[in-house]
Amino acid sequence: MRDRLKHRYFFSLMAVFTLLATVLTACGGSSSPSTGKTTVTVVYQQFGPPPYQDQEWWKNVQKKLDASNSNIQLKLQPIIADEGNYYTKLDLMLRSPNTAPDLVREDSFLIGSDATAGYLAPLDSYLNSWPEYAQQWFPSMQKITTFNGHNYGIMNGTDVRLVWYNKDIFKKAGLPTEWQPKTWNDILQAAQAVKSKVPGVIPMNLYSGIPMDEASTMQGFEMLLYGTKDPLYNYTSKKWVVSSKGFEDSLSFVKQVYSPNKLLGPSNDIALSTQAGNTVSQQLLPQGKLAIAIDGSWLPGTWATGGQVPWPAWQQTMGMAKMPTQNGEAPTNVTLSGGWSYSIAAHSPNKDAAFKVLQVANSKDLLAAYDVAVANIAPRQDISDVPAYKNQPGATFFSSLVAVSQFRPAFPAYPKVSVQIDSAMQQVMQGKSATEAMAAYEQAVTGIVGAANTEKGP
Amino acid sequence: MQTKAQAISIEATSPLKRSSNRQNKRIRIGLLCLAPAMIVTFVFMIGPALWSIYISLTNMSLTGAGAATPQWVGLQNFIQVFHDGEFLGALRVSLTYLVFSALIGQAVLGFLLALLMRKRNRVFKAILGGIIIVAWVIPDVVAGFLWSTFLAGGPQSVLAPGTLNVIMQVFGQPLHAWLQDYPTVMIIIANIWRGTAFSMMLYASGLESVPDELLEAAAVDGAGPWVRMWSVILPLLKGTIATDLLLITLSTLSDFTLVFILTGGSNASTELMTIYQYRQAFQFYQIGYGSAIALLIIVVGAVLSLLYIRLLRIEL
Repeated sequence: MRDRLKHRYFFSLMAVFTLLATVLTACGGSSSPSTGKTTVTVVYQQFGPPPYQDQEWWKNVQKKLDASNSNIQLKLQPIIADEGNYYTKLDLMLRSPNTAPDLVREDSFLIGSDATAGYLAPLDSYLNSWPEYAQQWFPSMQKITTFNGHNYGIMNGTDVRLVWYNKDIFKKAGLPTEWQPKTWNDILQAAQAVKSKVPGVIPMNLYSGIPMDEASTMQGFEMLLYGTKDPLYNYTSKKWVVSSKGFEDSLSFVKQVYSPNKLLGPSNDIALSTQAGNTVSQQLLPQGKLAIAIDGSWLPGTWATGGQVPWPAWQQTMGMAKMPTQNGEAPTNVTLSGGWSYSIAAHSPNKDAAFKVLQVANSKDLLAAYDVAVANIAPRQDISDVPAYKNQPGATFFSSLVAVSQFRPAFPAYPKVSVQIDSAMQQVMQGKSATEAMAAYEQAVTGIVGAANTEKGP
Repeated sequence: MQTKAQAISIEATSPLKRSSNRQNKRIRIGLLCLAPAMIVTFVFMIGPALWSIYISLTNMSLTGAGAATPQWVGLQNFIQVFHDGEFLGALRVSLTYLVFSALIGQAVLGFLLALLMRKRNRVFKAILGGIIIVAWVIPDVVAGFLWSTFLAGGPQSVLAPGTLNVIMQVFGQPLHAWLQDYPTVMIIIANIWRGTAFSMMLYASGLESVPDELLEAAAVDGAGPWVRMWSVILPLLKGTIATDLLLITLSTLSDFTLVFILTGGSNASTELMTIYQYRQAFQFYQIGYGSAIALLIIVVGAVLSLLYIRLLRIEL
């Protein structure tokens, strides 16, 4: 009796463990190509309703690979999640050799962090063997994926930031319909003209404050700061510039836009809401309620047929101008770029095959088709003569900006520094002086990166 | 390995008395039946819990330094938490939110509503109860969006005003960008609206068990309504009150969605501890630091729970 029980106990335990083991292996997944082909796994983000342009692109890449009789089989592994969760899941996959894919879609801005983490393979030797890359990719687009002297990805699309303005409202305000502000002051003066002559219209929008997060930092603050003489980060001394004339001037500009007595920007219920981006692009601009918007090159995507708010008349209504530097100093205008790249995972067992896939995917025709489909600015210079690309409104203007575009200091500490910038902006919006807000920023950033990694500008 | 050790111990106990043998057998059968549940609990609950304690003592992160090879940092994360003004701010926000929205708002309002519903006719109970419970039944995300449309608009805004601002307009009162100008008050009101039903139902069932004879006897002895409330009803409801406070404290401390939807989770004056934890762990990818904060949230909850049990002198 005792023995039987003992055995039963043992067997049931064994059964449970076997069951668990099966379940756990099933979770792990496996890749055993039965066809003798090399499988290259591709991970990218997929969100919202179809069509999924990344999927279409990779399908075309597969066709082209098959046509050239390569023995590469792509395995698409979309991560269905919004942007924040995509990175959480991607980073979890990249951590372990068991789950790491071969090719991953990376926000250019996280390449520094992921390279530091050891997730990405440097592509230098591959790219050196592919002359097309050095010839065709804008130097700025090659620089954006470079971290500590190594290149970790190939950019497939980028964006720029600029000054949008509504020509109808400008006409009513007696302003020129072909407009290029030369200084920050030109923008403020145009906004004031709108305020006094066109009631019921918000004169200008500059994203600001904590709720809009990175949009406040990049479309808002950095578009100002990068147009002053002072940087956010000193690449030579490798230190964060936590206090400078340019920083303070940028905050003063924000303060002028959001001064409650002479409000030029949107009211708080719009500006300090997390929905400000959608409100601006889907309501205020198409409804003619906003005169000047410092915003991204991606806005026409919202207004295209099939976009969230189809607005065919935008091409006649909306004007595009470059963002001027503070007082028109050389190089007279400023823009920032982000964008996406594909990188090879450090744990990838098929790096050679993966790079072959990247070459095909980034060939002129396939990349052009993709960039047109997702309304991206092409990082390849020769795509600008592809008709489908060239004929998009604004394409030439945007491409001219890419050549001079600048980037964020994409170090691991940046996301936290970014929040502090937003916080400083919100402080001046809510009445603090630019000097006070900058002092708070200095203190917070010193706490984040350490006093040894900060310096003060003039 | 373990099975072997068990087998040896079984052999060792075998020369004992028959009755103790039978008892042992019963224990073994009991353990056997419990085994699947225990294993699941260990693998999916206690395991991860221990793991998160371990993680909180490392600099583990999802990207950047500390991602590939997490280092043991001892209590560094906990020391850092207490030096982080943002955490102390979040703790303050969480406690304010807890005291005003849960302890004062939900518990008191829930109790008053339960009293109001007592001995009323069915129709009244059904309608009032229905309205209150609807707020509790709808998902957090929906409740969040409901409140943000209710509070929309503001002075100088070109957008359509929300219901509250329309009411203000009708009465000729100044408009406000409610969520931006008074964020703390608004999340507290929204949470009272949302959670009162739970306390109300708990108290209603507690009040059912207060015998009418006792109240009548007290009335005969000359006790007014206040005395009856203070000396009869409340002492009888002590257990219910403790249960309610415990449950709403724990659920309010772990609240995330409603406030996150209303504020985007990034306003210093409405950043709950849970939101702070989420941001550190999943926006800044610091898993180790985030785990340390999560453990501290549990500590805060545990301390408060013990406090209630002590104050109300009840036995669980």
